Amino acid sequence: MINADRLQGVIVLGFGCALLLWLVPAHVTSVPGDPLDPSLFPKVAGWIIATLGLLLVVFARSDSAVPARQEVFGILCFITALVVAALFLPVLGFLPVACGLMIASLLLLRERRPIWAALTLVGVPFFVWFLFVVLLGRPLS
Amino acid sequence: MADFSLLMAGFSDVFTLYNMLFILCGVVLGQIVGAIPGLSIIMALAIAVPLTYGLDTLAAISFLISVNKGGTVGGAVPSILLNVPGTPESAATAMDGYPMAKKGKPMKAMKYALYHSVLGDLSSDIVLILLAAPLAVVALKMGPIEITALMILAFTVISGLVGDSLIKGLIAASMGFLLATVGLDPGMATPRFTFGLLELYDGVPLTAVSIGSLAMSGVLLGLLNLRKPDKEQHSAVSIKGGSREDNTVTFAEFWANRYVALRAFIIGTIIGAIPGLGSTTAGFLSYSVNKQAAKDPEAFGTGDPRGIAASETANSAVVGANLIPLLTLGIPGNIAAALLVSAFIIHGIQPGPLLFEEQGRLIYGMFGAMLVANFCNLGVGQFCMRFWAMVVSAPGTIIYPAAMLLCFAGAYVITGATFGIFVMVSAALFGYVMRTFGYSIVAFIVAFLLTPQLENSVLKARLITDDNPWELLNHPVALVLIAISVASMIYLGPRKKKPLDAEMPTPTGQ
Amino acid sequence: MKSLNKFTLSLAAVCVTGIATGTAAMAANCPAGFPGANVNFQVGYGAGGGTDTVARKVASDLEVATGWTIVVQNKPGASGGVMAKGLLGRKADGLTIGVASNTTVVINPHVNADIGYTHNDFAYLGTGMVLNYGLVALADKPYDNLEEFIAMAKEKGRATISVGAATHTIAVDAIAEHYGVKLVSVPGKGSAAALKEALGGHVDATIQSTVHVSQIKAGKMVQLATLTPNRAPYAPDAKTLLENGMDLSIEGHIIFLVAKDTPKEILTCLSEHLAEVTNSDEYTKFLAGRSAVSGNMGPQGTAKWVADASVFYGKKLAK
Repeated sequence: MINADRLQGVIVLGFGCALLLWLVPAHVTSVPGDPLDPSLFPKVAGWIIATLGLLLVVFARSDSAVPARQEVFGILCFITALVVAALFLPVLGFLPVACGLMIASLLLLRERRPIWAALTLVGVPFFVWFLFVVLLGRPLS
Repeated sequence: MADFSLLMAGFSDVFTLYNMLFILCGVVLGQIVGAIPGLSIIMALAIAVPLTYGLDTLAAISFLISVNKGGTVGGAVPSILLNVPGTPESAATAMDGYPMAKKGKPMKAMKYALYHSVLGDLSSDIVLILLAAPLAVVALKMGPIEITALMILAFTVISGLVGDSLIKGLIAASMGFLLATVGLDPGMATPRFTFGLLELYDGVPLTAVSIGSLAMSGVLLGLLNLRKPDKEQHSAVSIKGGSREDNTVTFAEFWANRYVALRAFIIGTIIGAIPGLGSTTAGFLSYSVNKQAAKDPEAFGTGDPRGIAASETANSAVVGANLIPLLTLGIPGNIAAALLVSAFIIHGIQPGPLLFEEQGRLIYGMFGAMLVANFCNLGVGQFCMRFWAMVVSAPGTIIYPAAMLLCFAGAYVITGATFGIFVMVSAALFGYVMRTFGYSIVAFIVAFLLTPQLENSVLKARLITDDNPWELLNHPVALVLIAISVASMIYLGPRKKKPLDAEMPTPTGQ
Repeated sequence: MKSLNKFTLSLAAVCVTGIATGTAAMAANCPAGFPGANVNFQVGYGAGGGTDTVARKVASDLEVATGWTIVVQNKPGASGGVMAKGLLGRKADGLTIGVASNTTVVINPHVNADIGYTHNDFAYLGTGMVLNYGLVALADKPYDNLEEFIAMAKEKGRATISVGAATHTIAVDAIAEHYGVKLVSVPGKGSAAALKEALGGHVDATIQSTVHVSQIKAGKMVQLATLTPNRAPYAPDAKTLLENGMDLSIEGHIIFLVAKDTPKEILTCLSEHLAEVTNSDEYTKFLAGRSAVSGNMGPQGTAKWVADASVFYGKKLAK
């Protein structure tokens, strides 16, 4: 069994190295020595991250927590629902998307009481829409 | 010097039914908007500014200031009840407010928050009224070199926020540091890590990141808890029941936090008086300083009233102090102050060095309105917290999805595009991963907030001194600040690692 | 650019007479049934800034004048670039009006590879406010005009000038080149931050566009040189760069634009209504509060100004 902390340390170390060797050279203009050098802070970040990653590998603790598989699945479901909703927002408009998001949450939460379910499904999207669009005059799509 | 008759005239202008009504409306609106995650005070102010076109000037300014003040109180409510900060600046309040609510004392936690928020706000208003001019001069003298030193000090203070593992906390902070470099660089305006996305040119949108990593990740945890088979946590926090002692804050309890509040007030006022920082930074820094200064730092984060006092006093103290550079120099300290500038301008008043001379009566009227608004906040807050407690007692299956949808809509409005939602969702996922593996989100956010200011100050300092480090010797204030940073690293750093400090059970308070 | 300015003035005069003689509300020729829906203002900058304030004022005055419903949205990012790029993808029906600055259309396309548009991709309705670019310094510094400032810089070997955006360095570099002296731009986030450095005495001078006016009126600062083509009314003694013998004048405008293929009659309708608002007493009074003028150049004037300015910055930035 690999120690979770040590694995994270390896990932962080890898990210730090990727920053220094690839991301910063490819995506930041570098003018070494100039006070205006745009790459100074990104490079500093790269060095710090790589060093801390290495330290984490060395000083890994054995008791670090790992989330339950079910919890990870739940989070991914909600995140997916949010991303899908955001993708459809410009196409369908706010209210249909919001209702869709509410249906997804109700299913994921296994809400069975019809009155509360109906309130979540209809009341919440309408409330949010009313708040932003009508009261605050901020268009939502 | 303040002209006494002008002062009295200004103050008496406020006490009309008309003005009082606008102050009351502003406070109520601010508290409601502040308490709703996803809706920010900035948004409320931006919307309120056009509403005031038709009002007379004093009423308009009073209204806007009241909205701002109400917002600082309102934000704490969902932080405490749901662990979902209503505004980014109240995120530090959640660290002790939510555990306290979980222990069955939600009303008590909200009262601690309200009293300290009003206390911080009121004190910094008084400082503004009495000392605005000299403080503004001091703030002006803080040049890029001094600000750089101050930022370094602020970074060392983060070490009080890193959580259990120092290394992991620093990793979180360095990720925030890195994320802050996304966008056009401050010196040459070349794109960094923008991957061809124009939306990233001004950096990763701050509000979307804070809604995501602070509020939305809290919502996700709440939703996950609801999925657990034991349905006992059906509503977020149980409001009913609890003894009288659990529902009130006595004066003795309030007084016990006086040193915490004093430190928080000083930090909030200093940060407010210097343009460009902000109340979120103030809340976290004050929390960290007070935690490090406490005899029993481990008590913080378990529902300690000192944590609530530290955060709320400091973030509210920023609100009054923020007006110092605005009123004396015409320089807005943050976005909320910038919106006040546009309200002033719309009413034909140009903030700047001539403001007191040209508009003395109006400014004293505004000061009067600020004081009145603080007391309104106290009264309205008492009422609002009962209202919110009632709302939150609805089942979690409606509360958390509603909070999720509000964050969703709020993130859209920030950028006017779905881009904001994607940033928010990514930040929420990142926040969840960090929470799960024991990385401090707070350290991440504070580093993200401080870095742009640090980078810009370093850049300016290097240009001004022509890269000559000996120039530093001409800046004694900077030297003192750096000495304090070094001292705090040496003195406060190792001390954290001695958990045995906690073996003596100490009573809460001093 | 001088002739351009005369053109602006005469155009403004025509508009003023137009309004004085005709009935204001009937001044614009609009196609029947236009707009038929909400009109959207998309501001290229965040809430609370100068561009946002002007956009919201124009929107509210326009609503009163026309009875339309106008929704103001902020689409900040890349100095208006995010908004302008978004405008390209919109239907050219005149219902979406962008509010931008000169940086958005004449500087962005030269400096940012990802911007994806040029000033030719838009149709212009007019402008809403002239920015009073000036080089200003603290009053208690030992120099009161550009010559004395340059002399100080030569003596010390260098001088620092705080600027609100990296693009403002164009002016600093041009002055440095002209006088053969080392001037260091100290870039900050926004004009207010640049002003703070100057007021605190941390830099020798600053380039400002609006907020310095009240400082000058209060006697805290002096204008060393005016960067706009004509002398500024609030600092009549400060010479322009042109008068100082430089071939440089920098002008800033808040620009109203729409997608390029918008039908002619809608363009006429929108630009006439805009001119009606910017020439109104109410709007003039509003700008006077900020010591500014609208200087609306009208649709053709704006298009010509943008084209000229784009060539100018293209040359300067290519170096």
